[in-house]
Amino acid sequence: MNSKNILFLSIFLFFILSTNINCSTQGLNKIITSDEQKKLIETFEKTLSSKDFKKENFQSLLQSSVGYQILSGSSIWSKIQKEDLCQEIKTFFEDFSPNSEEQYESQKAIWTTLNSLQSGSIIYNELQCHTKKKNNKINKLSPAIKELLLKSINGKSSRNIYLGGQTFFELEKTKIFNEKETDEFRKATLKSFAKMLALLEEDDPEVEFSQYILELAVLVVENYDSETSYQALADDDNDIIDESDKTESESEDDEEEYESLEGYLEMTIEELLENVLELIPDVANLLVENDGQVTQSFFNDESGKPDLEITSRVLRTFVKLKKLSIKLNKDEEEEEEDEDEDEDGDDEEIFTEEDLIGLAEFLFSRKSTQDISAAYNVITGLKSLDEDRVFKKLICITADKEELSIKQKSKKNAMNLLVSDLFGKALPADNIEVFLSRFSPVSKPEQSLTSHFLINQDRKSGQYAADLLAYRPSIGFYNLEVRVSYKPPKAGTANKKLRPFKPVDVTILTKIVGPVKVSDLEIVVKQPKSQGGSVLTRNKIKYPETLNSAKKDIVVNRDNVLSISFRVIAGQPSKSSKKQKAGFQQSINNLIETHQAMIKITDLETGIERYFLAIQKTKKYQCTIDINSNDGNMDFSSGKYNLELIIGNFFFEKSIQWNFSQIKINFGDLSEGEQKILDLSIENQKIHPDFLIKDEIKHIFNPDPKRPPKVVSNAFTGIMLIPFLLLIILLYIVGFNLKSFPSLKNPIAVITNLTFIASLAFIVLLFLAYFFKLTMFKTLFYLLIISVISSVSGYFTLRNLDK
Amino acid sequence: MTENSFKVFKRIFDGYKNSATQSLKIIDCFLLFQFLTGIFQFVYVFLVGKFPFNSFLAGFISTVGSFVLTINLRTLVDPENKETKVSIKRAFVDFLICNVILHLAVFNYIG
Repeated sequence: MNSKNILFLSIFLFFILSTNINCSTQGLNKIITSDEQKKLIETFEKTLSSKDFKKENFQSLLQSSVGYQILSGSSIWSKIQKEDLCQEIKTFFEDFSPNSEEQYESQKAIWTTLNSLQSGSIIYNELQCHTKKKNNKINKLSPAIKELLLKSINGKSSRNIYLGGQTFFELEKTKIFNEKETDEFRKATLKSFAKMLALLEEDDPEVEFSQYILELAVLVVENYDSETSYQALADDDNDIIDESDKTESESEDDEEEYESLEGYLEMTIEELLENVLELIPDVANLLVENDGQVTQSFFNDESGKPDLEITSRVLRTFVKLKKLSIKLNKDEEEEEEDEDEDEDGDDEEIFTEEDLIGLAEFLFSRKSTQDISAAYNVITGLKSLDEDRVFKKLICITADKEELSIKQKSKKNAMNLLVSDLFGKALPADNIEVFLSRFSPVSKPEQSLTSHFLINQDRKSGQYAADLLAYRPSIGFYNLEVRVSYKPPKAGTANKKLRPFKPVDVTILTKIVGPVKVSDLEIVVKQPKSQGGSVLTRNKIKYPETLNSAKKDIVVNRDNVLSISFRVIAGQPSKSSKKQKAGFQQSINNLIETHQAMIKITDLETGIERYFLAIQKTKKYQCTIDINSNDGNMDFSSGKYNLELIIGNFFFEKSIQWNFSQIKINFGDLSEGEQKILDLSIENQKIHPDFLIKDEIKHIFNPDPKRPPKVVSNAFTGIMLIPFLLLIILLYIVGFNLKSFPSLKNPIAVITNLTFIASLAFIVLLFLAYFFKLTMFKTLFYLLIISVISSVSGYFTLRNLDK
Repeated sequence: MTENSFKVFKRIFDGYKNSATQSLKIIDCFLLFQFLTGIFQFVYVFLVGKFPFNSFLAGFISTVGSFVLTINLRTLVDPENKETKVSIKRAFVDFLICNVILHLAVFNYIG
């Protein structure tokens, strides 16, 4: 080759390379790990814990089954008593009747009922309740349900139309409706769908659009023949006269409200689908304008918080609609096996890569939920994002370790990278190439310890081993940039497992840590500078020993200054390759700065701990403790103390907490103020009584107030009898006559008279008995009897008096 | 002075003795009895405090209520009463029934 060709070739290659670099996209550096998936599976299984199935649980059961199926691949239905569930569904559908008229009025009640109906009907079909056992089959649908379905399908809320329509279509599969009803429902659903689309055309989609219109579109396309239209269905109907009468009266209203309704009524399902597909970019814009978090005000619901359900539902329906449209077009166009389509297909794609990543991040932020519907939404949303026929492929690269230590041997301790989809399922190795692009410290991003090179896959684990320690990084934070690009499969391999994609870059934050040691620790007790600054004692301690206290104790008197100095050394990778014989050797000879360096003084008696910071002066740390000043906060307490050194940093394998010596501090006699400070410090250590456990309060009722002594009471009881005696005496004085008493010749009269008097006496006795023994009910009962007797006898007695 | 008042009282008393029928006198004794009972109860409570207040109320209302009913009976029984024309028997029966109801409540309330 001559130089011209070489030049041309190099420029060409450079151009390719640069465009390749410029055209790469971002990937994700997190996935939903298998532990998190297990937790979600457990959440889904919790719905089975209540064996008693109620209609309120149908929706969560259905959601759990879908989520469980996606995550574990198996069906949740094998774990439940299908018969019980089928019975419950059957009872619900046959015996449903709303409690009152009010239930129909409340939107919320209608929604919950429709939700239960929809979920129940889907479960009914999935479990094949109507085929397994005859007594599980729904024989006759409750008329209230039919009424509710019709009402919701003919209503104005797209949510209700969708729920009602779905219920109808699910139940229709079990052949529970007759032909007339089926016709009616089918026409009504299609008409309502056309109405909704017409409504959209009239108004601003930001104000009136509902996520449920998309669901409705999916429902319609799945259940109607693609060539039919509402007009066609209406024409099929024999009662043309009735139809035209209806449409005349209704169409007046319709024409006022929706001008375009007629047009929609004439469109075939295919054309309606195209209309809906045109809406998708607008909805996608709404979704990502808020970084994947949709405010509900855009959809006709209430509050304005970011919503998981809407995001997930919109993604699901996008996928379904796209798939349905592909299916419809399959017969018409040839499916092109191409790789060019995706290279320039930005216009055809719904979301850009950043938007997809934003949506995925939003869904990941909710993955640790315990709520079933939230978990369902997260899982189905992620599953929808994973569909690379609809959205661009999202590639996730995750590392199995967060940090590597320079003490570890390089080849055995590589950082294993998993290149996978959102769920952690590895991409097929035949179709991808993984490159380690850059490995640079975060503080100096321009320095890369490695150039762009290919990583091979470890056949055992399926992961890619990035042997970072081989580059001998020093300790610190590093950015690891990994690139994944598409590799066309070898000619001859039949299945193309992966669709082509642009190269994807992912940045992973890693940490390199190393061992640490303290050296040259020195304890110096000296006179303060004002008195000369001469050194009284000096002790050197080697890490990790403790100063032998059998020797003379270090004593610090009041005037003295305690000074502790030391150096911190961290491990660094050895630059010489000779030492790399059996793995990786480190040499600890590097003075470094640390994040935290302090001395902790613990009072052995009271247990009070005090901290002093060590300041760095030219790579040597020094901590000066002037016990006299209150800056040191020694609180003037004398006694024995423990000295500990605490060193901490991000990049130490293990931080140091080293008890190196005991000292004795002697304050001598304290002035009054100083004594007060000391007492206060001890006092503060005690817990305030308010925070301690208090005595138990035993409740006592109010004691009865004092009563008078019994003598007084009894005396007064006696006094009370005086008027009675007085009465008797007076009566005797006045004299009472018994002339009216009937003579003995008239026995009946005598008896009635006596009965009357006796009954009155009995009433008095009854009251006494009531006071001592009886209950009110019995008293009243007996009173009734006696009063009858007394009234009868009294009547006769008094009548006889005149005679 | 006291002689005069004594004479006045005696005159009233004699007038009373002559004019009132026997049944009226009996009823008057009964009235006096109820009145005294009520007064004594009230004095007792005044002295020793009203701890079981419900008992005091029961006793007091018993006397007061009966007093009222007896006065009612007296007015209806009085031959000089020309305004209300109710037969004595009717009055008596009413008196009995009301007393029964009153004492039912009273016994309930003694506690």
